[in-house]
Amino acid sequence: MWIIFLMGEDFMIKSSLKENKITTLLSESLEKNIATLKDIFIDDDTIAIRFITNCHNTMLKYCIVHNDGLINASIINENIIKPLMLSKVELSRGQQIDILIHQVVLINQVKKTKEWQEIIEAVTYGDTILFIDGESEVLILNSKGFNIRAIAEPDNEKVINGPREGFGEALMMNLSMIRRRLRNNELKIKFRSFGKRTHTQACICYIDSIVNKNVLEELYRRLDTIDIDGVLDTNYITELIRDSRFSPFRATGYTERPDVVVGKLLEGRIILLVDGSPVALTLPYLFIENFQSNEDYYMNFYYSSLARFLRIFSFILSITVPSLYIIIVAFNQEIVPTTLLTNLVRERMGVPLPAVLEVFVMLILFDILKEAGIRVPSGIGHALSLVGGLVIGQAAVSAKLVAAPMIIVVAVTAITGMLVPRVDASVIYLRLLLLILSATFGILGFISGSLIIMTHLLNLHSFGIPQLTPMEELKYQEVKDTFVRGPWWKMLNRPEVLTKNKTRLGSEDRGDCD
Amino acid sequence: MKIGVIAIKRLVGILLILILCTLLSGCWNYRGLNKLSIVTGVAVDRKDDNNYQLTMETVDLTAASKESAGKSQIIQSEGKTMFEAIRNAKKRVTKKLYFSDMKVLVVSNQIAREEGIKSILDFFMRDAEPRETVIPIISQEKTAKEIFAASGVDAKIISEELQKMIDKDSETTASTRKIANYQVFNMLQGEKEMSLVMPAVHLVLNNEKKVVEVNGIAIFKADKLKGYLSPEDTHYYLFTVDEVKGGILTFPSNEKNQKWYDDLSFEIAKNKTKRSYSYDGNRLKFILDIKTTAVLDEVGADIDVIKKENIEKIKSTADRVFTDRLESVIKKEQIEFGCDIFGIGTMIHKSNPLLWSQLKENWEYYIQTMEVEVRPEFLIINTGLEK
Amino acid sequence: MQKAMMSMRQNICIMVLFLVGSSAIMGGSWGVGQDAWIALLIALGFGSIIVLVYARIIHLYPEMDLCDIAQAVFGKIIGKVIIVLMSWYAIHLGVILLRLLSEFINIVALQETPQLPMMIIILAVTGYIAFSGIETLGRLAIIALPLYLFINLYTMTLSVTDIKFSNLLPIMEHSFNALLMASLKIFTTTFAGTVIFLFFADGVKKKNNPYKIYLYSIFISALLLLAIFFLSVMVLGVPMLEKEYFPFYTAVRTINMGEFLSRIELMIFYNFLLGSIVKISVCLLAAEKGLQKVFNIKNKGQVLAIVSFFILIVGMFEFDSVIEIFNFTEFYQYYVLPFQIVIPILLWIGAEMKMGRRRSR
Repeated sequence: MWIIFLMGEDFMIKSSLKENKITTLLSESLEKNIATLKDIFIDDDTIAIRFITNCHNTMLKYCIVHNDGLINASIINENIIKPLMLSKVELSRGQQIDILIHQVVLINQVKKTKEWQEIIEAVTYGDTILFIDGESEVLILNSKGFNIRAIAEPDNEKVINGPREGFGEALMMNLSMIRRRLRNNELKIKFRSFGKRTHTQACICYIDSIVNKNVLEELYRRLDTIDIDGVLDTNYITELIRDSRFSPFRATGYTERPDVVVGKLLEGRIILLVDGSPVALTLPYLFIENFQSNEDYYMNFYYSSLARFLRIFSFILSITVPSLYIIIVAFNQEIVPTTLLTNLVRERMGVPLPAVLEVFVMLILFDILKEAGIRVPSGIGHALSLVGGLVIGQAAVSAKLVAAPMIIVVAVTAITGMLVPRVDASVIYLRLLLLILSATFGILGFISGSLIIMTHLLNLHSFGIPQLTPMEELKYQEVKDTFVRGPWWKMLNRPEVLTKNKTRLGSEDRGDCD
Repeated sequence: MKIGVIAIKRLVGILLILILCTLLSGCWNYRGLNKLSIVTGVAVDRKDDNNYQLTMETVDLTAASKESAGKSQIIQSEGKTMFEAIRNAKKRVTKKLYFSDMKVLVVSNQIAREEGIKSILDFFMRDAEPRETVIPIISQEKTAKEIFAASGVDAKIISEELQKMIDKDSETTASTRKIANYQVFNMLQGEKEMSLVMPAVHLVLNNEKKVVEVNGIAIFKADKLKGYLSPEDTHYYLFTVDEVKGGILTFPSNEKNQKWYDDLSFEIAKNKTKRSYSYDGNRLKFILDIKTTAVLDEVGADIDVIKKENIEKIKSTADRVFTDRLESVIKKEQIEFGCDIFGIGTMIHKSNPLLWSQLKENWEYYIQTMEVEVRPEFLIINTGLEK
Repeated sequence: MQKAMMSMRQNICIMVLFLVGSSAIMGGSWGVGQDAWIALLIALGFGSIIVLVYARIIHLYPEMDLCDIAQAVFGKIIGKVIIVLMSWYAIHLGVILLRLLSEFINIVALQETPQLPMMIIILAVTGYIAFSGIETLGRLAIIALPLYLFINLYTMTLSVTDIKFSNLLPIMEHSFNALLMASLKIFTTTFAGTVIFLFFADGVKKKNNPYKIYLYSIFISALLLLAIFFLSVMVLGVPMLEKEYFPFYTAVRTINMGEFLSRIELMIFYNFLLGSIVKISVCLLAAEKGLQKVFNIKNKGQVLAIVSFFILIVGMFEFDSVIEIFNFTEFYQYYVLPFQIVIPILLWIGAEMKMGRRRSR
């Protein structure tokens, strides 16, 4: 279903990049301006140019320029062309621009400009430019009417209970969803544009009284250093401004849901939204957020605590299980009791490959299956990846190519890896690192590897704040939202690392229960 | 030099080191599971003047035995020392012998009598693979390897059976004493404080097949075998060292003539022995306060057990008979062996080191002339379902 | 970059881990058998006195590390000499620890692997930790110490069925002289090792009390060491205790509960690895700090790399075998006294005099 959206837009585009291309200024002559325009947009056939004159005073000549497809034609017809043509207002050539703004043009947002750059950016976003003969300024009139995807639940962040709205690709629509949830004047929204060629618009949101000003300054400082061709998605910005550039772990959060965004704003975080992408960037980011999901807050806290714990546990499992298997099977067989050992040995009799190679092969195979499952059209996808994997595994065991415990190891690894989507990129690499280390050095390698990973995690920072903070200070108010999800009537304070403005809840308000 | 060149050089250097590491490293230690032969028990015999003969029982993992609980395979080898014999086994076997699951070490009584077991045990303590909880056992048969040739009643792997039997023994029959390797070592090191004892096994005929049976303990002087105590005597011996956790004591309900005919069975639920000693300048006296909680689980004679005077009579008879029997076991041990298997030396050393340094010169004399005082106390908590 | 600051908790955690690190497998072979706990307590007494000296030095010069203090008290040249000496102490300690660790792994787990690659990988890990700085090390310690304690507690609870209190008797069987010698050994190998934390004194915030940090740490670690020792003696008995290289490790090997819970010693192995790596990281970091100040090298990574390689090479060649290491420990307790006692006392006296002069001005 196509929805045609009429919106107003705040024209405060702050272009922080220098654009040296267009040096011609606007002249007062309409013909010259249009000639320059045609020159600028040469070979772009979507620009439509329409000359008009006022029917009562044919000396008043205008030209309307818009980009076909981005505009709502009825606005242009009814609100721009009609009033201009039929206006009976007394206008004189050379002094009409203000009167046009105040008395003629029936548009909700109007802006004057002299800059060609602004004109280009406006035309390409769905605004109409009004060139006036005799004026060296033009009017930018809001006439946006492009099609936007309907609001739908994001695929990656599905919940069972709770709101189902998800961001779309239009910045203003996203902002409206946030605005409706935060109805006070402390929510600040600042616009910026990135990308030398794309001039993509982005906005930064934060709640003034809660946010950490140091982080905000640091963010602005880093955004100023961005010097890139085009920004198509939030991830472009993420990679350009994040700490620990080479780390596989995230240093900024992402989400596609407005309720999550507002929740993070209320904790003192800063949100970055980019036009054209439904993904919002949240910063600063704490490591524990990898394991948090907004659904935790909409459900019973016992269950959510268990779910959180399961996620952390499965993250650890997913990384360590293949290495542990190798260690048990190939190096330190003393760990297992005798009966288990004899069973394991029996299973491995007659299997040609050494255990390490088996593990590698099975892991790679499983990753291939997973990727195939994502790309294949949805009808076959699920069936193929999971069942196919198991069937292939079973066949491999029967043909004695792989040992049976191997299948269990791979299945556990894969399934636990899918439980926490935010870290699945890093999980693959960490798993591989641990596997290589344990295959060469046995248990020494495993412990060294896990220490390296631990140190790396401790080194991670996000905009000056260490990512693993809640785990070390062990203060009650900090921990109540990390490994477990404390009930709402216990959440008195916001996380201290994020903000100084701590108090969230008036008092430990238990309602009327016992 | 430019920064880029330095960075690349460093990167290459690090990569080289890492690659060298992987080439040089623990892949050497990589023991694929299918190349292991899990040794569960070792039997040591003397082959000729120079060589030991080792008989190793391993878990048989050929594909055919998937259903059964596990058969065992026997590997034999010879060598001048333990370690050499084990290595020589590689001449016959392709797989690597894996000792971390070894459970028992059976030594033939010939070796134990003539040479002593210290040199044998050293390898199994020093090497990191065999565990310190290995149980050394003395075989009462002619050789130690016959033990592994027997067929077990439950499982097919003798070593496991032996280990389980000895493990649970103090709670079931209390007829032998479980000593792990490290405890053996302690006992051997101590200056005559405590003589070593080890479980002893022999073969018996069970339904036409020869099976292993635990048969009391073997008594050592220093590290040489001296003799054995029968299972019954061992049961009484265990009272003196306070290691009884179960077991059956049989007593007569009354004395008929000179023959004592046992028809009562006491099942021991709990036992606590308090050991103490007294020294009067000349002789030692070993004092035992034994409190036993028992269940009267079998009454062969026609006695109405619920009557109080009957119970009292039974108890007093039991006290008397028990004392007699215990004292006779201790006396027998003193005369026959003269070793301090009761740990009195340790007791004295720990409570009165000065006295110990005085006595330890002639310790054997003191043991042989030691007096014993037994004060038993039986508490019968129930008599089963019947009165 | 802000100067790395540590909270009190981090300080204590690092110190405790440092102190008990390598004792995770040792726990008792100091030559006095069952009376070693008395020796431990005596060593604790001496240790408390000397750490008071260390803490006093930090107190007099808050937020300055050993290098700055030495230079402030004795002037640049003598100060630099002191720094070099103390850095050498740190390096040598690192060498011994590294070698001990790789020997242990060689004996117990990876028998075939040559020690060089083992040392390389250990140095890689410790180098990375040292490179991340003392703050990261502190945070690692906060996470690692509870884990360490938990594992110890767990194994101790499991061995409870095997302990015999009588193994502790007779008390005071050994002469007082022997006990004093043993306590000297304990003192130099554990408690006085905290002298190395003077290198990190600039991470101690001014408001934190250095006395508290030091005293808490040595008391907690003394408690741990006592527990480990008691367990080793009570499970193994005195002759085994003396004979084994790694008594606590052997003690844990005897745990056999319910037939399947029986290979717990790997957890102790992990503990030892963790403790040693933290200890070596501290040594590396201390040496790196010292040498950086002395030679004025800006690049932290370079100094670390040099120190690591040096430790690696010396580690490979200083000892031929485990036997030499254990024999060296006899000599080590005397050789290390100037670093642990003489230099700090000199620093203390110098600092007091300077402070006194300053106050009287």
